[in-house]
Amino acid sequence: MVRLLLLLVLAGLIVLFPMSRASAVVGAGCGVGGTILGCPTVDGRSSGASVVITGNETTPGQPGNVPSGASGTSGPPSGALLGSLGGRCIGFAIANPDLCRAAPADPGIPTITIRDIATFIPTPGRQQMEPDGWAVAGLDTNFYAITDTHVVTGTLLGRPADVRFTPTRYLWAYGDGSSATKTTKGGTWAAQGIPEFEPTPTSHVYDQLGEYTITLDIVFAAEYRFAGGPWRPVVGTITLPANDLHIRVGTAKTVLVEHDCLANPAGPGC
Amino acid sequence: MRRVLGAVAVLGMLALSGCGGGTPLPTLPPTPSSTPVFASEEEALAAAEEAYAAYSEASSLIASDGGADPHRVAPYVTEEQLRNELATADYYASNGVHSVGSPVITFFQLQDWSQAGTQAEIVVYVCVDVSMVRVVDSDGVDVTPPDREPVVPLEVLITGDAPDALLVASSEQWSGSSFC
Repeated sequence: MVRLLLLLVLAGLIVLFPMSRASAVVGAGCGVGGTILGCPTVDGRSSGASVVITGNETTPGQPGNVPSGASGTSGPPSGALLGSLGGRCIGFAIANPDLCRAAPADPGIPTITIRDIATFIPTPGRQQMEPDGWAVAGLDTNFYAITDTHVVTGTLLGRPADVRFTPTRYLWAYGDGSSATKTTKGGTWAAQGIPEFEPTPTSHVYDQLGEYTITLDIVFAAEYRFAGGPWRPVVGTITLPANDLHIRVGTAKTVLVEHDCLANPAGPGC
Repeated sequence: MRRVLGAVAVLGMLALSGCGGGTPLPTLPPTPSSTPVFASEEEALAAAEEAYAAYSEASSLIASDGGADPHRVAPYVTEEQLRNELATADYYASNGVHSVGSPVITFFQLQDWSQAGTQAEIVVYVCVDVSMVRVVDSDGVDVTPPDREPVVPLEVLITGDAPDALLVASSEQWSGSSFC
């Protein structure tokens, strides 16, 4: 009995290992309503695996506290606020109007000038691929991210606080000049009930043979809360790199072999 | 018996001819049976532009109303983007400010698009000109941030499962050199 099997022959070795990039991209969420305000809000940076979140609060409504250059020099509280907000008075995690408000409705939020630095460390995401470590030119390669919503505790404005990070977007650069922005992290073919080498929402097809490095940046939305308080949205997002994948894209050949690999484990390609 | 042997021989020849003719790739898997959202890139861009214009109008209307009734933008955005819109509206409301004048979309260019199954994702570069828009407080005092960008470059993600059901999923200020 002769059986025809598909044997995928890859040229060369496949190397797959994680590498971290030094810097992170920080994006600023800004809708049309936000553009009018000058896209206030996001000012974060990454050092290594951590994200340093810096915030400070200006003294509200004091005469003479209007930042130089701000309009409305008569010093209405909102003028001072907008001026300072335009100058990014507020950092990433506390880029919330409540903390930049002239007369806070929440008595728990201090009204004196304070300056605190809080370090929140979101868990970096990872990416994986199928087939594991190699790809076939002309066929779908399934990339997917491993990450989830998680809460990080720390100190914000001197008070214990939680920041909840939710991955919302996945920016893949495939190393072949193409990139894609996805709203799903994807998953294995098996988990999605999709046969191997078929398209998935996060799959990519390489046209050319060669070596490629795939990078993934994951965009996190964030919310914060002080102890016992409700979650408050943070305007803006923060983007962190996942591991890189280094792969070689090969070709697939069809060869004729006797028996399948179960019957003849020593056969070619088994 | 002879017939069986013949069949085996034919099978072998077919297989061999398959091996000899270069390196044919396995046939590509069939595409999903569902109908794609868009037939062409032009169609996707046109639908995205229309969806963004509707969103932009709602978002700027809320700004001009000082953040009142912010859920008016909900039909045009995803749940995630709605949170951002609500936070922005809350900023207007809590500071007692509103906008005067309308932002103008001066640039709308496709960066990337894809569709899998019935879901399409479109990423566009957008320039929003706010130079003619002022921020004023309840007393009519101009409190426009002095260092505000007159034209804001944005990277916008638009998603949906039908040309007339596209939603703005995210909008981020472009951090690289401005394309506006």
